[in-house]
Amino acid sequence: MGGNWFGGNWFGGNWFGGNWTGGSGAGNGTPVFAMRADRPLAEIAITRAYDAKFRDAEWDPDLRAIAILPEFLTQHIGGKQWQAAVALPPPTYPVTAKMIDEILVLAVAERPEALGEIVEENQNFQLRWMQLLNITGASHPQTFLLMKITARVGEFAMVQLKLQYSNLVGAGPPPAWYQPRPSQVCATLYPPVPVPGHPAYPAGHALIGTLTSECLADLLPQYKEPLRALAARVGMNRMIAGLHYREDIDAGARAALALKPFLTACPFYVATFKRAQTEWQ
Amino acid sequence: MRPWELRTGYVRVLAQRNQDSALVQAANDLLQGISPADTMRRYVHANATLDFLIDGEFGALPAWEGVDRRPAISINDRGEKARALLALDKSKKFLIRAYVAPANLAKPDFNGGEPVWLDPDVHGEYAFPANKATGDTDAVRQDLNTATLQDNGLHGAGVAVAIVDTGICRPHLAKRLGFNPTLDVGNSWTPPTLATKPGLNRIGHGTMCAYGVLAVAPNVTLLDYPLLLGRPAGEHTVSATIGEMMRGYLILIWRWAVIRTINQSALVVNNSWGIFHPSLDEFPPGDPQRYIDNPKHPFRLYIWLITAFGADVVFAAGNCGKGCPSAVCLQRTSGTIMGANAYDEVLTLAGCDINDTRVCYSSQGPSIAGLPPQKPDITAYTQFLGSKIQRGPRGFEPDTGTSAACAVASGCVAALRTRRPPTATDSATMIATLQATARPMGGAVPNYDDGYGIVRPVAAGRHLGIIP
Repeated sequence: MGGNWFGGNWFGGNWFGGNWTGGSGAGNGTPVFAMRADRPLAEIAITRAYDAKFRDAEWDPDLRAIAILPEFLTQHIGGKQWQAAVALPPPTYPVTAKMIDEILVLAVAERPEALGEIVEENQNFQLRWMQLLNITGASHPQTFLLMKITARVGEFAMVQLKLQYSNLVGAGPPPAWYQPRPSQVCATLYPPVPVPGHPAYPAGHALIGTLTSECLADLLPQYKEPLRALAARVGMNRMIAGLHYREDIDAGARAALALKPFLTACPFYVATFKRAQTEWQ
Repeated sequence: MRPWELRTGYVRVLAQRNQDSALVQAANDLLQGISPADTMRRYVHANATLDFLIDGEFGALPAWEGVDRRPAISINDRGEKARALLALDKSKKFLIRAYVAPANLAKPDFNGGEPVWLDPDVHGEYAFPANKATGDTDAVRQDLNTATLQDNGLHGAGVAVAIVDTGICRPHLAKRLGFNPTLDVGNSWTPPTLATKPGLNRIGHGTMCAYGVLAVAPNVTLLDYPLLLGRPAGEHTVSATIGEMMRGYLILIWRWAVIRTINQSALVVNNSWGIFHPSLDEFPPGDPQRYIDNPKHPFRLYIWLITAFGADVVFAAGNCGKGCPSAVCLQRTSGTIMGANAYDEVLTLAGCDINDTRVCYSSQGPSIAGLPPQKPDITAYTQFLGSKIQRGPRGFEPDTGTSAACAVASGCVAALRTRRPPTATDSATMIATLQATARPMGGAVPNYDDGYGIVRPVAAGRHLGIIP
């Protein structure tokens, strides 16, 4: 779920390798490099800027956002760390026929119309939020960074929570196993996008989408309802796609609300939030 | 707080509550076309708990003496008497929509001892994939002998037909039919979560149903009720629910029987929708909170009320027949006529093609255990090139499913109602007439494939004495 919105991929793909450290950076500016390896511009005498600085704005927001994690991990609210505060119920295991049937009905009845959204939201789904707000990384760099920070925490929490629900009822000894994806239970669900490389519970799209919407709603209260509706829509589309049970979606959204205070208490988040506010004045 | 914030999961229910001034006002808001959310705020604040979330935007629906009690009304009570009997401030019970923790439902004092029922997802009765057309609209008209209907003035004039579906696109109908059908915008109703206007909805299933009605009875007045698009706000679902249907039916009951703004001599309600699969009912068989096989679900009260006031309620049987069930049936082909589609008060439609052959997806009886087993009631035509709402790789797709059959039958009822208002022939008698005059199919009649047979509106008209 990292990667780059512009250039690389947000979700899969470039997460492992690819241009994780490349991409466009904050500036989205023109690349500066020698046009010809045999004739660089080095022979031209110019005034050197020994006082040059790499400005904060030049940071690749993907990387810059990682700095939120140590702050997030050390937050305590009410004497609890985030994981204790989230405290999701365990997923339903074994998966029931009703859980599968519900997705099958949705796959037949809703997938044809939802397919375009499903494919579009499979990777880089935050683009949806940017479309809703009509922003780009260049037009609103601090809001963009705030979304990256939110996503970093969201994806970290998602992985931790998914790991937390290993070896469910009836499990044997390690190696660990987790809540299966619906298509592992019922192969004919045949998701129209690749099944992600992590277990079903809780849903990452719902978690990160809800967290993004709730954080942006603090910044832009006038967008609160459409932001929430968008998060619900993106989460539901993953169920129509056959990638999640309904309880995954609910749990992901619930986790987002529970961990949000731990994110919004982080100094890096607070500072970025204040700077983002100025972009909307 | 939103339903998915309940830590233990949730079930969406319709909960019966005692009268409260906020509930009276919320129901009134709904009838006035105002969002009940503001009115409900105080009630929600006072009554919601962490494991009982009240959907304020849903408002409240009157249940009068209670869901299991039926007011003493007759068809002649429309107007002042109905206004007195059904007055909101005299309703002792109301229904609200709530999200509750499943584990709490079994507690004896849950909801103060008042009952709750499931508010399940429902969908239009789509038949996938569409098969080849066996004829066109003219063939349907010939088979039904609509020429004779119209020679006898049975065009549907003075009859309102409510299309409870995904909405109507009137310009498309005008293009396909060659005339601009009458639509009563003022008496149509759009769920508050929708932005579209009556008659200007996206071309789709609802437009197909309206076409089927108009193909038989071109002079009816359409009422657009796109209830299938009215999904609950703030919840992880894409579907409408029975609660949304009940809101629309309350509006219909009110306008037809109480304030009588539907100024027509008859009302037909077309329902080409249903619940696809038993797994969409949250509760186990035998649970009094179920919908699919529960004759005491509160929707029954509303269906009973509107038919008691003379409206004809027509339902599709469903597309889960043996042979080629729709994919949404998940291979289940027995007991698939469920919920309101199997109520006594409604006319339930099977489908046949233009060659009088039962279409293989048409749901068969007996209905799900617990509801009247002898369904469907009659059969009507489907699988014809009609509304052209959908273009496939080989050109326009035919109108399919028991949805189209339901609409054709609604058109037949509307045509007959032109000269036979419900004050002369009540809805139960109309159903019995259509059954008695249907062309039998198969061996024994009635049977579970076709009911009493293929609808014959001219024979029904003769039986009623309105065709010589």
